[in-house]
Amino acid sequence: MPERIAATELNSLVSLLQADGYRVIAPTIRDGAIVYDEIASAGELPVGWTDDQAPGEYRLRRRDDSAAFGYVVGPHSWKQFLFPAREQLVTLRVRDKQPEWSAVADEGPAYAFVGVRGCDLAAIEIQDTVFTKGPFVDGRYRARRDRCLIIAVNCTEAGDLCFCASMGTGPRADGDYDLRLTEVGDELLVEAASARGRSLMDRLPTQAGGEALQVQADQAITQCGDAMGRSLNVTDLPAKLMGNLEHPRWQDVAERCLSCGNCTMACPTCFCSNITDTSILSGDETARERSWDSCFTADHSTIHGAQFRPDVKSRYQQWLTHKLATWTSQFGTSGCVGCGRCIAWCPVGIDITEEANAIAAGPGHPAPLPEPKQYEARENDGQVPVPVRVASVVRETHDTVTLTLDLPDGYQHGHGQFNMLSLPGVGDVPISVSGSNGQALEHTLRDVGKATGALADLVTGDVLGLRGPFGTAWPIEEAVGRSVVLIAGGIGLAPLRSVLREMIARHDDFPHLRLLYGTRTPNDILFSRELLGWIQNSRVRAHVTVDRGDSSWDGNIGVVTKLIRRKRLPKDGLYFLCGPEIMMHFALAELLADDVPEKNIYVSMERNMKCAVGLCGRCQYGPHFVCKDGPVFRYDQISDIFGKSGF
Amino acid sequence: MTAPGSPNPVTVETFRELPTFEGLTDTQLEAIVGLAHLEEIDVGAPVLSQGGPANDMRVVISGKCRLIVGLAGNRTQHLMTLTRGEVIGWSALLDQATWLASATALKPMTVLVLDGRKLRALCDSDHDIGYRLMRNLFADVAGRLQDTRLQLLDMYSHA
Ligand SMILES: Cc1cc2nc3c(=O)[nH]c(=O)nc-3n(C[C@H](O)[C@H](O)[C@H](O)COP(=O)(O)OP(=O)(O)OC[C@H]3O[C@@H](n4cnc5c(N)ncnc54)[C@H](O)[C@@H]3O)c2cc1C
Ligand code: SF4
Ligand code: FES
Repeated sequence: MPERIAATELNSLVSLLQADGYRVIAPTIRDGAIVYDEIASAGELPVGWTDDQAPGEYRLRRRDDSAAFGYVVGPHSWKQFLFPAREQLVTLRVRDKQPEWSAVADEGPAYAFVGVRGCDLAAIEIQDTVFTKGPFVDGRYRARRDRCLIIAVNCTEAGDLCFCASMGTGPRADGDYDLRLTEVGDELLVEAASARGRSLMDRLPTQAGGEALQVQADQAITQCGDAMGRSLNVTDLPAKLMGNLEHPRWQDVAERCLSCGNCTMACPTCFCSNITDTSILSGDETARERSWDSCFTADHSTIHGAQFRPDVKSRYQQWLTHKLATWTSQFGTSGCVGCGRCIAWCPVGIDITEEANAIAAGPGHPAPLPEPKQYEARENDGQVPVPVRVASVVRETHDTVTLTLDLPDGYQHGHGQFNMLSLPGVGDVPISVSGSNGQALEHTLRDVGKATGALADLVTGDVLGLRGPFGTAWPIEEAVGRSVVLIAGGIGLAPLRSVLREMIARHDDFPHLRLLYGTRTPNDILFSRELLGWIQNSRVRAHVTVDRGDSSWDGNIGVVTKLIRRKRLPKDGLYFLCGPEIMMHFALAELLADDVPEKNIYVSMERNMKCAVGLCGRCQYGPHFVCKDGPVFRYDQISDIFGKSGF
Repeated sequence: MTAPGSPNPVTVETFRELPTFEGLTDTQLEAIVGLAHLEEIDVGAPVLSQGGPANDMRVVISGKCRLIVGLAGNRTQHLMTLTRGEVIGWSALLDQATWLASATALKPMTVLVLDGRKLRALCDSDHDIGYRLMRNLFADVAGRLQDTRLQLLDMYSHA
């Protein structure tokens, strides 16, 4: 039953919350804006203030009444409390040269959020999905979320930039709140939706007669919904946006966009983060820290040798299509809640509704996105490395080594999966498992930069950190009894080696096995002794080619696609491809021209990675995450975006 | 090297499964049989020599050779290796051409040698054969062009 309370009694609510041990966070005025911060009493609420907003503009103004919630949303969102802008995930202590990693426990306060609007309530639920619906679960986020109490507020006056009605997130604050308020004149309608909320309501100086006030409140909310400042046509929006990636408007907006990332910082749902190892804290301790990041930074889409979103156009396209389209495939809802923050806080006033409406109305044929995936939630966030000892190091070529590591307790992996290998203070990088047996685990890595360089310098007995295994594996059981062709380029042979070994060992299951391997020069050939064994082994037909040879090389010279063209390859076989994207692109072209069905081809993809567990957003590949949905994809799942610029 | 009329005479069967002759009827192939012969080449022996007159086009029946371009200052560049079904010296289809590269056998080879001048004349007089043959060769040349591009990209230098 709803009840009513005088607006002047708001302080009773704040006091009750404080008495219950909550740190009360609410709207309050600071530096000319309404922000979310701790308040000591209801007197710190922006009573009698409102905000005038327009694209690129935000200004506070006195109201001619003393409404406590007579404004909309400002530059802050609640995410800064649940997903702090900086936080330590893991600490590392080195004792007697032995590194020990441990998770940083979450010991933060219990927050009571007062004044959570419909859009923001929806935003919190969206981040709940991102951080807690698996496969990996951010325990720190979940703990903060479980502790936090939410006092929502229904909106009765929309701002000029609001479009929550279009997004179905407001103005009524529906969802997972404890207590909900609606301000009507100098009274508040109070509704409870949880045991914690009811307990509060029982202790508040409320009065009966809530029903009559409810009628007025409902009217005000409906009017507010009808008077939204902006609207976005969401009908089939994801498919329309994905079908209009060539729309000239992208270039047009790119010429205005400064690529500053303000929209992503102000956005209550953006969750991308960077992870860095910070300097020594005290003597022998280091911390691994997570901080907010944006898809507008160059680093976000850079890997060694490639920058997938080199210009403003592709970065804006990532932002908009992620928010309004691919998010739906990733998490089952739109990533936009219609709060309008990105419009107000964009220094050049770019309006997401205007851009999206214009692009979606373009002539492109709608391109539907895949259905959202469901993940089984695990009980950890996969962030804490375990120390493992280097058992031996084999130098494969001038820049590539194979590290054999002692197998961590209970470790099991699928062929094609990868681990994150860490060195204190250097960071951690994704490296595929290139082989394993009951005692040891092999990784073959090429020294291309800071982390791989440091890993390549390890010697027997050194200790490094390992977390994993992560990602998808080659579909080995699906391949039983069929012809299998492995096509590898360069270091791409590493993740295929472990699957090839397994298939050779299970010869009866894999009687028709081929390896086509291309690399740069004879000196770059990996696993040369083992490769020779494969070439001589009647159970596998292995062919090697190099791009550049000299007179000392009697083998094939030419690119790997030439081998594909030369060998009569089975149409109904399964193909596993791993190598540089450009090599896979041309290899795929040959296979498809030969009528090999897309669903018979698997490719292993590479994108920038930080967390490896689906939480940092770095490895996004259209509707997919390379770390949790890949790296091994069946080609028909990604054929719409493979090789397309901006992905 | 063996001369025309050696133990393995060219027949229509010789052309089977060679992409260059794909789509040609047996009757059309009969017309080509007359201007072709087989050659055996030992390991290390030249298949063709850069700068020489491009009189004949060759198709590898078996074995393997490598294609090398000689550059100024005694330098050489190894371009590619060629095996069964691949064409060596398609410049023989151009008027008055010379070989732009040398080819040396890496494994004992059998090659099908087609007289360039006669082949050109046949294509001129029978456009159906000419079109088919040129189409197949164009596909081969296009594939090589693409391969060359990939080689130039040096795609493994970053991955
Ligand atoms: C699923 C997967 C499997 C991989 N398997 C192997 C393997 O078996 N062997 C191997 O040699 N390499 C592998 N790589 C590539 C390897 O992770 C990068 O070469 C490495 O991250 C480069 O880090 P760096 O610090 O040495 O280089 P820098 O260029 O200094 O990189 C700086 C940072 O950028 C990021 N970054 C750069 N390149 C990549 C990249 N390619 N992928 C993801 N993040 C990147 C990392 O966070 C890195 O710390 C794999 C990549 C992925 C995504
Ligand atoms: S990739 Fe998506 S979540 Fe990450 S910053 Fe960009 S829009 Fe936000
Ligand atoms: S989401 Fe962090 S690496 Fe995939």
